[in-house]
Amino acid sequence: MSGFIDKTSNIDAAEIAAEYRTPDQGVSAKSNSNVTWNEYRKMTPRANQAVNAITTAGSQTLQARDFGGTAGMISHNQAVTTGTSKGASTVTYTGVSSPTGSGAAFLNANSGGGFGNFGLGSSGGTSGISLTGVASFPSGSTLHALYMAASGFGGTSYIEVSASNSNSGWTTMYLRSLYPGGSTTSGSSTFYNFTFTYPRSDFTYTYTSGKRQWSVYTGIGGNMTLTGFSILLNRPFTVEFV
Amino acid sequence: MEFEDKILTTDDITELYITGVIEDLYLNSVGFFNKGTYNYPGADFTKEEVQAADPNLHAMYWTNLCMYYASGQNGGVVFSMHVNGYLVNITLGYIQDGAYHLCNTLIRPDKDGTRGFMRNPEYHNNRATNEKSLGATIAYSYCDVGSPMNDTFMAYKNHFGPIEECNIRNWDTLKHLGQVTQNYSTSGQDWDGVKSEYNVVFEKYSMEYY
Repeated sequence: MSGFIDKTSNIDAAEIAAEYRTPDQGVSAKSNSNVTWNEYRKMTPRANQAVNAITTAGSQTLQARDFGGTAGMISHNQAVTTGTSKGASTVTYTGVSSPTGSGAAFLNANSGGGFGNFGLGSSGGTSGISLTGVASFPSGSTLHALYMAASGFGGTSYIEVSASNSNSGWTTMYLRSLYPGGSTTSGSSTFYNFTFTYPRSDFTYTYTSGKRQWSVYTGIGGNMTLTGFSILLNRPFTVEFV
Repeated sequence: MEFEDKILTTDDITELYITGVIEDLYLNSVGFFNKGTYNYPGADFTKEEVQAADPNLHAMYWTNLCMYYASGQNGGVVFSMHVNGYLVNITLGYIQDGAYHLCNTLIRPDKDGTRGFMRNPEYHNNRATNEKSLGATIAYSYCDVGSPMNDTFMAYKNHFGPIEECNIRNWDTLKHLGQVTQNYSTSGQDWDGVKSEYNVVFEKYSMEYY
């Protein structure tokens, strides 16, 4: 089972390879021996411990600890609607949810009842991912959902963790969407992997039946500065909690 | 002028969103929306709030809609027309019981900054060929009440009807069928920003193929 890279232990190439083995190919795992440092560079939100500073592979210093507290995942993106003709409304679910995550109630894309993968390559699972040793989450915490339900002119993004009731465990989350090769082009423009920052203070916290949930509505009438998780689309991405 | 009409997948829609094409299509179409009574059905906001929304929110709205049609649920299909390799149009619709139902269109100028391609018979022949290839034997379209598109439809009928090269769609059969009211609900689900129950009135048209 995949997991977050433990920030408190020594991080070596083998550990990074175990979690980040397939930078660009989603669930079709690349052989670990074929993954170079320049490919890993595209994936971490940090370069030399500075967040969101990565624009081109090979131009910046990379440290093993830049990967601490991160994990790779694969987002699923699927729309549902109320009707079949003009005038219908659509809700698009984007991200990952285990069968016990709330997203599974709306969208049973996989036979297991959840959607997306908690991990990259063949190590990615669908039952959630341990947060033990990540940021200040209590030991035994499991991330069960990180997704957005987008409809109309906005949507609600959710983070769900199983643990006892406490609005703590992290202060900032970074999401980094991964394009094949680290960038994508359109016409004369090049778009590089970009890191999105989410302060916990922007989220509303609730606790129900062993599930801690943070949510934020982005769009008209809501938070206009944060980018909803829909930016993850159906691509691999990395998560970092601090 | 070379035309190619493609059927888009959800991965294609993702790419068009990332690279800003959907936002560009919206920005080049919104002026036409605002000339008519175009609205965003089901959106639980005022027209002023919708119009003031950041273009990226509009791009997200259209991306969500495109994703649904591209997923193929309930016969949904997304066509994209390319002029000399440049995407100029996305059209959302669905195939049901041998009929193609045109629901929404986003359009932008070609590489040269013109929309002259709209009056080229090959533009419409390419699209209509794709519609027929999916099993359509008749086409329906739904237009906002009061939209200038209602006049455009009749102008197109007069323009393309006599042109011999327009031999896939039979423009002479274009008919206004009157107004139809479509009712919707979220089936009891509470969706942020979406009305639970709503209805919309459209002008409905039909056209036959050769």
